[in-house]
Amino acid sequence: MAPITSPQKSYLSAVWIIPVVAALFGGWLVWKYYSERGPEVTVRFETAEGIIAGKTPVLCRSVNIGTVDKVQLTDKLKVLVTLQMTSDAEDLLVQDTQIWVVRPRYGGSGISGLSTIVSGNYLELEPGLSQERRTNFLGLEQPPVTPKGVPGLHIKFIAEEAGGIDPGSPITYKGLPVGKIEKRTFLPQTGQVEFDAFIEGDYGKLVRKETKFWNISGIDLEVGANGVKLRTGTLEALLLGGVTFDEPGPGDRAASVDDGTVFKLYDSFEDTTKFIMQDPLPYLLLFTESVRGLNPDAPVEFRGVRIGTVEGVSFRYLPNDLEQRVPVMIRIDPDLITELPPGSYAAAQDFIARNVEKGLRASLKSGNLLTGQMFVDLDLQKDAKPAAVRDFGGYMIFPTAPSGGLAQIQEQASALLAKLQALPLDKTVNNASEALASIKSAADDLKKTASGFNDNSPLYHDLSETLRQLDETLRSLRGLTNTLERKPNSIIFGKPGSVPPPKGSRP
Amino acid sequence: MSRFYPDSAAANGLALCHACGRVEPVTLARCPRCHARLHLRNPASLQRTLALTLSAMLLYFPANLLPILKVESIGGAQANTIIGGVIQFWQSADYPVAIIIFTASVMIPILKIVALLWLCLAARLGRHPLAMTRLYRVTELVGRWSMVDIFVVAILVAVVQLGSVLSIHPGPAALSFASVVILTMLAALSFDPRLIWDAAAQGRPSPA
Repeated sequence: MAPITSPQKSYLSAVWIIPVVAALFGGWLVWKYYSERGPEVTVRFETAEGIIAGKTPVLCRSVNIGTVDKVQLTDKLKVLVTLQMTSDAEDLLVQDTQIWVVRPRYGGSGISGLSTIVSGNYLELEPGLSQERRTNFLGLEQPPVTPKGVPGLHIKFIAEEAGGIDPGSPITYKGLPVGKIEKRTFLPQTGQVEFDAFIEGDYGKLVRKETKFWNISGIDLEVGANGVKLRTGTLEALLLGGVTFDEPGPGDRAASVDDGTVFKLYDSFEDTTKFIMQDPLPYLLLFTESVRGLNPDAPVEFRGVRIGTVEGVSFRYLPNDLEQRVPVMIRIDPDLITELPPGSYAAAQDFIARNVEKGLRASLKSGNLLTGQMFVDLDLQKDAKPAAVRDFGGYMIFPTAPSGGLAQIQEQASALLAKLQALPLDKTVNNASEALASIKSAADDLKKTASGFNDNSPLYHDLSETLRQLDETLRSLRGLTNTLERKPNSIIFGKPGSVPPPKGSRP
Repeated sequence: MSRFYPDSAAANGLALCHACGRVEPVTLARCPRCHARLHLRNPASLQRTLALTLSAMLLYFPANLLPILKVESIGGAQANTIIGGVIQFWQSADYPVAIIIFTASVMIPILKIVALLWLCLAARLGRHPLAMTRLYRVTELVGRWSMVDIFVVAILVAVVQLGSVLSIHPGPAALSFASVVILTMLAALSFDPRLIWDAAAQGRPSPA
C-alpha cells in the first residue's frame, strides 16, 4: 500500500504562531489604550456653562491632555466635572494645579478667549509646582492672570478702596511694567479690599518690607502746606488703574520679602509720605487766635523737623471759657523726639512735660504764604510764662504761645498803634511849642552875648594881651623847671656858669 | 484503512487536487496537470482552524473594548466602541440599525467562533456528521458579511475629512475587528469538512 499521509499528523503546525501574534497584538492594543487613558480627576465648578460631557477638551498650553467625561450636579448644587486625562498629564495633576474654563471674556487686560467662540469652551489646566499628586480640584471661576510656574513674587495689598484697580492692572516701577494685579477681593469683615499681585522675575527683589505701594490711577492734584502738586501715572494706568512703588531704602537691600507678604496700598503718593506713628502721644492745644489754614494732617514741627501731625480742629462754644479758645488735637511721635526705647509711652510723656516746664510751647505758624496753610510749631521760648501739661477731662492740654511770624508781627504792630493812639499828642505838641519858644528866646540872648566878642572890641584886645603875657610867663616858668630838673640844687647855689654838654651830643 | 469510509476516494488512495480539482492517486505527490501538491485531506487542518479561531477570540476583546471610531468635531473629540454605538442607536430609537450592527458586529463573530470550535470538536468526535456539515456551510456563507462595520468605518474615514471642522479616524478596534473577521474566514477556509465524515467513519475519537 502506498503511504497515505494522514491528515492529522501529530507534529505541531507553524500556524500556532498566529494565535501567539494575535495575543501579543491584542494585548498591546489594550495595554496601549489603557495606558494612554491616564488618571481620572474631578473638578468642582459653580456652573457647567459650556462644558459638555465627552466633548469639552482639557488643554494645557493648547495641548490636549484630556476630555470631560461626566458632568454631574452635587447635593450642594455645585457642578462636579469628571475629567479623563491622558497618561502624559499625570505629572501635571499636583496640589497647586489650577483648572478653569476658558470662555470669551472681557476684562481690564483686554478681550480673551475669543477663539472659544468658534471652537467651543474648553478647560485650561495650569500645572503647579508641587510634587504631591491630587485627583480632586476646585475649579477657578476666573482665569489666573499669571501662570503658576512663572518666576516672580506673589504679594497681597490691602486698600481702603478699590480705586479703579482691576485684575490685570499693571504694577510699574519707575514707569516700567513689572507686574500685574491678579485678583481683587472684598473683605467684608474689615471693609477693605484685598488685591493679589504678581511681580515678575527679578523685579521681585525690588520689594522690601518697608516698600510702599500706592495707587497711580487717575490724576492726583493736591494743594497743601507744601504748595500745589499734580501727579499722573502712565496713560495705561490712567485708563486701567495701576500701582507703583518706591525705591528700596539703602539700608535694607539685602532683606527681600516672601510670597504672600501683605502690603498696605496707599491711595496716593502723598499718602505714603504721610507720617506713620507707631504709638503717638495725643495732646490738646487751645488757641486763642484764628486757626484758619490749619487742616487735619498738617505737620507738627519742632524747629522745622516734623515730629507729629494735626489730628483735627474743632470748636464748641463753652460758656465758662471766657476766651473761647479753639481746641486743636495733635499727635506727637515719641520716637522722634527722644532717644527712649520705642513703646516707653510714660517716659515720653514725662520727657515732654519736663520740656514744657523749660518753656516748650506750641504756636501756629504759616507754612505757605500763598495758600495760607498753617502748621503747629513747637519751640523752647525763653520768656514764656510758666506753664505745665494739664490733664483736662482725659485730654492732655499742651500750653500754647502766641504765634510768631506774621501773626505775631501783626499783633505787635496793632498793639503799638494802639499805644500810639493812646498818647496825649495835642498836649505834647503844645508843650513842645512852648519849649521851642523859650529855647528861641534863650538863643537870642546868647546871640546878643556873642555879638560882644568881635576883633575891635576893647574886651577882645585886653583878652589877647592878657593871653600873650600869660604865654610869656609860662615860657619862663618852663626854663625854670628845666633848670630844676638838671640841677635841683641850683635853687640854692644859683645858675652855673657853664653847662657841660649832654652825653652823646656832638662837640 | 478504517480511517475512511470504505468506498471513499481517500480509501482508494485518490486525492483531489486543491488547485484544479483533478483526481489523481495521492502517491503521485504532485498533480500531473497543475503541479500542485496532492493531499488526501487539508494538511494540519484542525490545528490551523483551532489556531486561527483562538487568534480571532483573542482579538475579539480589543475589538469590542476599544473605540472603533474617533470623531473630531469643533466641539471636541468623541470615541465610540461598537457596543457604545449600538447603545446609542438603541437609545435614539433606531432599533433596526442597532439590531443590524449588533448582529453583524457582535453576534456573528461570536457565533462563528463558537461554530468553528464546535466543528473542530466534531471532527474529532464524528457525531451528527450531517448537521455539522450544514453548520460548516452556514459558517462559511455568513463569514463575509461580518465585515459591515469595517466597510462603514473605511467609508466614513475616507469621505468625512473636513479638516478641523469634522474628521473621523479609525480607532484601534477597527484593526482588531478586521483581524477577527479575516481570521475566522481563514479558519473556516482551512477547516476540512471531510474530517467530520472521517471521524464518523471511525465511529470513535481518532487516535491522533
